[in-house]
Amino acid sequence: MTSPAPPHEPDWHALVSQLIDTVDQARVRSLEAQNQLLALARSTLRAAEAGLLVPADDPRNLRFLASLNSTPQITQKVLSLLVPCDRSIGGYVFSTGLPLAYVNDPQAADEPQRLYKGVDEATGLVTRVYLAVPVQQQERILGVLTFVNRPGGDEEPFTAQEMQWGQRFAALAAALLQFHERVQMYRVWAEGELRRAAQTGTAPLGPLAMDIQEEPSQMPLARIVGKVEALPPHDQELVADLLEVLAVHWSRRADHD
Amino acid sequence: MTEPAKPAPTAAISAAPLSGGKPPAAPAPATAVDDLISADRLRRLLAEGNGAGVKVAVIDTGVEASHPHLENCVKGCYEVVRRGMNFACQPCAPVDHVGHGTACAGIIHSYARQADIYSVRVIGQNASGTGDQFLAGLAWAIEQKMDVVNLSLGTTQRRFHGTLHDLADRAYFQGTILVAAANNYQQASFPAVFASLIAVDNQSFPDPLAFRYHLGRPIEVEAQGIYVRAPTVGGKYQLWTGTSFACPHISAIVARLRSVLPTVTPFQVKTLLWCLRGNLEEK
Repeated sequence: MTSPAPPHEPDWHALVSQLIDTVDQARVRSLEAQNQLLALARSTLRAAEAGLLVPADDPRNLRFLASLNSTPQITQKVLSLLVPCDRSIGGYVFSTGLPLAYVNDPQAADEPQRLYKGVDEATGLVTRVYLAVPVQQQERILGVLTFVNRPGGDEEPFTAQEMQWGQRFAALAAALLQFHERVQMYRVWAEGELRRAAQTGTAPLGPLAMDIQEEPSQMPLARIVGKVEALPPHDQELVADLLEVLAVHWSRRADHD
Repeated sequence: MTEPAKPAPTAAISAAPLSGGKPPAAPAPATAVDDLISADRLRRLLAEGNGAGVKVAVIDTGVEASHPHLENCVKGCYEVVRRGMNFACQPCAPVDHVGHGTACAGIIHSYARQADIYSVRVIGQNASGTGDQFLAGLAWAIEQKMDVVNLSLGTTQRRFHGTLHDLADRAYFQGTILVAAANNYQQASFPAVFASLIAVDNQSFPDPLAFRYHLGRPIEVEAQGIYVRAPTVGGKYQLWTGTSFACPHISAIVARLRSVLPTVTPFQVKTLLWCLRGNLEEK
């Protein structure tokens, strides 16, 4: 009777890479779901264009995570745009959590007023009627749903009821956005693990990764984010404040150096 | 917009003056405080008021002071900037890059034409820092002893609750009247939920100065906030919808009351608004 062969060492690198592939699929699916939701919202609210603004990497800007427009070319342009927080109605809604709508003054004989012209200039669209509602999860604002114009050039303003419906769609978008954020965070962690393994010449999920349980100072960013996410909202905000202050400090120190 | 429009209960309004005159021989016991106050006289006062001598701070995205609609009513423009770990309020150019603050100032000026408006810009470059700037701007407006502060903004972040509550109390005891836009969907917004200020929801009213007062609700006042024609940047106009635009209607009404009753306190203003409630139905 022979003893069983020792189990082969799993290919940790392949496993983590596979995990990244799976996570990427989930990320794509979450974006598809977000687009489907946006399409449903656009059709329910009878809007010509719809978009989902989220914070960009540069915190001074928002970017479109999803956008539905009259042509794919316009959508491509919109997805590449940055919308400044302090110069746009979208930024205002993101900052304050208050929904609003506007329509250009029908009495105006001249060129209609356009608030934050960046999107219009890049796409060739002219915003005539506009609705923006915050996407929020509890007290945290994750993004802004925007609805622009009516199909066929109709200039009928968005109604108060449509604003309420927009807020309901925003609640659904918030759940999807949170899922998207978590998937994204998981990918960052897995990529970091592969990078660490390459740098140290060890297998991913090796001793260092195991030690993470014991040694908080070796936590990768994703684990810190996970810890912060488990905190109550008030403490999360304190951590966010602290990080922001540190970021300003480091940035100034780097400038000084 | 939390519920469909429905008339607020209206009280029987006495035509008797606030004071003076011969009392009736056998007065019936008063059943409601507003039976003691003449709504007709209040309406006359409201009609006489034009905001003269009243300082109104508009804490918002800035104000395009050169807009023809504003007729030089903007007497100062300030912005909150970060200085090290703190925030400071400093004079700034009379500009508005968004258009929201100009709309709010324009609505106030439309209905309180002699009020002096002070713009306090608090929407910063970084969206995550807006709450701190908002607090600093509000603190500054209270320190400056503004008569009315229009807050067509707020925050949903609970970490600001305590500080905002203290500021709202400071304003209340000092006599500065805060008027705040409510967040009317799911999420409480600060400072609108505090009892020491006047929180405003939006509703459609044909008369821009009509409003309803719902005593006992966190958001007590409903005012016109559906497609309000108001100035925007570039010297132009837009039609706006949101609680943000209902709020300045009430700020204008408060400025009018304060111009004819300069020593009126926040508590008294709320009482007067309550007595004027349903003014649309009474006309």
